[in-house]
Amino acid sequence: MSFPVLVPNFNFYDFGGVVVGSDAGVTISFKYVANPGDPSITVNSVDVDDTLNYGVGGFAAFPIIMFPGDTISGNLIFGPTGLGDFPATVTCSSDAPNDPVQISIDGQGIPNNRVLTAIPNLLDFGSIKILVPSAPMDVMLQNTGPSLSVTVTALNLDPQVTCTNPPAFPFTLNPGDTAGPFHFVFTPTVAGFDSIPNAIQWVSNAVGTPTLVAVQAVVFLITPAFVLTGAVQQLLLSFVGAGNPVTKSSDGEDLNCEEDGHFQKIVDFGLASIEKTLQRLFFRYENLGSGQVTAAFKSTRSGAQPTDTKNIGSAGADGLVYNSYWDAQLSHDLIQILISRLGDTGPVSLTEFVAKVVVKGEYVEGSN
Amino acid sequence: MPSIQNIPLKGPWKGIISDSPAPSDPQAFDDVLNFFMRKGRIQSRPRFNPFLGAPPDGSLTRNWLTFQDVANAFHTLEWTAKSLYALTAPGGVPTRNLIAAFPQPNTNLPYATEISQGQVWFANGSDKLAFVDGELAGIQHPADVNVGSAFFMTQLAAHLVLANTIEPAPGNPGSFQFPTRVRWSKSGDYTIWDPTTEFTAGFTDLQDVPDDITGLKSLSQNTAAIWRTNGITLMYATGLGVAPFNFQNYARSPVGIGNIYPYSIDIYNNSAVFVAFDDIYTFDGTNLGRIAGGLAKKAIFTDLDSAAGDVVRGTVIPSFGPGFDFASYWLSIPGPNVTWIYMFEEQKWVRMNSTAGRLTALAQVATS
Repeated sequence: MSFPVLVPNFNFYDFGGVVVGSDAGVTISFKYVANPGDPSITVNSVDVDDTLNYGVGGFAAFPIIMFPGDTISGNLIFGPTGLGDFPATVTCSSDAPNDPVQISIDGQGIPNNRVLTAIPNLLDFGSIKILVPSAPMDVMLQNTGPSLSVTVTALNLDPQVTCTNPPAFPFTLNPGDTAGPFHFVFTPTVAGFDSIPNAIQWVSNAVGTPTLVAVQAVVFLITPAFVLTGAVQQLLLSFVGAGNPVTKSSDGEDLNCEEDGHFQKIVDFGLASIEKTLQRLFFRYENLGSGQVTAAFKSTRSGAQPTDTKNIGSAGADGLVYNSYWDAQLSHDLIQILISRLGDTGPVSLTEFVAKVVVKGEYVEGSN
Repeated sequence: MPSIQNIPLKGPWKGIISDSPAPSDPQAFDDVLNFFMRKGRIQSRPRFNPFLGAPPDGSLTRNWLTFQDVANAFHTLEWTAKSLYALTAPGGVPTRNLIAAFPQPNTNLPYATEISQGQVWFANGSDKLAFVDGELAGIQHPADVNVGSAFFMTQLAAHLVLANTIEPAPGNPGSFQFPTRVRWSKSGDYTIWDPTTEFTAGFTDLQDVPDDITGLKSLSQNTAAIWRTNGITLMYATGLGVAPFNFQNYARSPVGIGNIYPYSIDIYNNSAVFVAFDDIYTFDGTNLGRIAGGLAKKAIFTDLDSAAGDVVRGTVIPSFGPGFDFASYWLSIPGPNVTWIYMFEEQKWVRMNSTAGRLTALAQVATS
C-alpha cells in the first residue's frame, strides 16, 4: 500500500439474517492515512448501490475536506424489504489516490420468528373493591421463539393498573429465556364486571407486538357489614322509664294490647225535663279472638256505678261481626259510659256502639 | 273482613271532653287511651312485643333508621347518645352490632339524619357532621373544616343543608354555636363546604329575625322550611350556582307561629307537623292548618306544660306493617310519659302509654 490512502474501517460486512420489516445498523468510517504535510483530500459522497434495502447516512455535509489522520464516520443500515440475500456495495468517492474506495456488504432478509409470551395472559383479580388497590398478581415473560432474541423496549399500562417492580428497558431475552415475575396491582375505578383486554402491553420487536395481558375483576362498591334482607318491616318503639331502656316491636297484627286502656263518653239523651233510663247498650264487635271488656256507667245524679264485664270474641276467631249488649239499668240522663280493658285480655274491635234509653216521664226536681 | 256498620264509630272529637253535656258527635268518644280509632272501628291498640333490651352502652335510643347502601344491602341503624349500632338478625334473633362509639360529652339530643346516595348523614350538635355507608369501617367525617356540627339537617336541590350550627366542630378551639346560621354544601357533593373554593357551597345568618332556629325540613324539591320559635322562614332553591338559595320570612313577628319544641317536627307527605305556642299545626309551605284545636289542645298542652326530663318528640309513621296502614303523628311527652297520636285519616287524637316509660324513638324499620 502506498500513501496517502483513504481506508474504510472494514472492507466487507455481513449483516447476517435480519427480520423483514426491521433493520440493523453498523458504523462505517473512513480514515485518511497520510504523512504530515501531504495534501488534503476532498470526499464527495458515500453511497450504496442498493438503496432499497440499505441506507447510508450520518456523515457531515459533503464535500468533506480531510487532512492527514482525519476520520469521517456515518451509519450503514440494512432493512430488508423481503426474504433473500441482498449483496451490495458501498462506494466512497473522493480525490484520494485510491479512489474509489468500495466496501462489499451483504445481508439476508429472514422471516420474523421472535415470539414473546406473557404467562399468564389474563389476570383475574376476582372480586375486589372499587378504588382499593388489589393484591398483586404476577406475570412472567418468556422468549418462546425458535432462534431469535427478543428485545423488550417498553411497558404500557392502563391507568387502573400499576406494576410494582417494572424492569429497566430495554432488555433482551434469548430464545427460552424468561424475565419476571412482574407484580401488577389493579385499582378499579368502575363498578361491576370490569374487563380490560389490553391492560398490560409489553412492547418489543417480537411478532405481533405489543404482547398483551388482559385484566378482569368483579368490582364492588363497598363491603357491606351488618346486612339485613329487608324482608320483614316492623315498627320499633324505644322506651325509657324507671328501669333500663327497652325497645319493643309491633307489626299491627296482634291487637292484644299489653297495657290497660279505655275509651269513654258522656251521653246526653237530650230531652230536657224528661226522666230517662239507660237500659241497654248495644254494640257489635269483630271476633278477632278471645277478648274481655268492662263497661262502667255513671249518671250525673246517681251515685250508683254499675259495671258489667263481657267476653267478646272466642278462641275460634272468625273475623265475623257479632252482636252483644250491656244492661246498665241506670236511671237518670247524662250518663258517663266508660269502656275499659285490662292489659293482655285479648283483642277488641268494636264496630258499632248504640245506647238505648227508656223515656219515663217528666223530671221533678228533688225526686230521686 | 265482613261487617255491618250503620253508623261508623269515630274518634274523640279532637280531645278529651270534660263539658257536660258533651258537645261531641253522637258516635264519637271523649277520651281514648290505648285504643285506636281506625277504619270506623275502635280497636285495642296493637301489642308491643319485647324486641331488644338496653343498648350495651346503657344509654337510651334516639333514632332508628333503615337505608339501602350502594350495593343494595339493607341496614338498620340505632343511635344512642354514646354509640351507633347496626341491627342484624342471625337465626331470627335481633342483635346489636357496634359501628362506632361517639366522643363524649354528647348532647344526648335526637339526631338529624338524611339519606343520600347510599349514605346516611347525621349530626346532633355533639360531634362533627358524619356519615355511614354500610361498611364496617365505622363513621366518616368530611375533611372540610368549614363544616362543624348542627342540630337540624335536610336536603334541598342536591345540597345538604344544616341549621343552627356549631363551628368549628365541637371540641375544637373557638367552637361556637350559631343559632341562626344555615349552611349548605357544594351541589352534589356533601363533603365540600368551603364557599371560598366552591361557589355553590355557602352559608347565611338569618339576621332579620328575632329568634333562634328550632327546625329544618324540606317540603318539596325546591322549598324547605326553617322553623324558629316564633316564625317560619322559607328557603327556596334559585337554580343559580352563585346564589343557590333565597330566604323569605313567612312570618317574622316576635309573637308569630313557630315551633317551640325543636324535635316535634316531622313530615307527612309534603306537609310538616309541629307544635307552636297556641296549637299543633300542619304546614305545606303555603298554608297553616290547625290539627289540635279546641278541646284536644287543652289536654295536650296540659301534658306539654308538665313536660320534663327530656325533649318532646314528634314522629310520623305510615303504618305498623304491610297489613296495618296507620298514617299518624306521634307526639311523645316526657314527664307525663304519654304519647298523643293524631291519625291523619280520622283526623282524631288518641293517647298511648306504656309501663316501659316514655317513648324516645319510633320508626318503621327492617328487622330481618
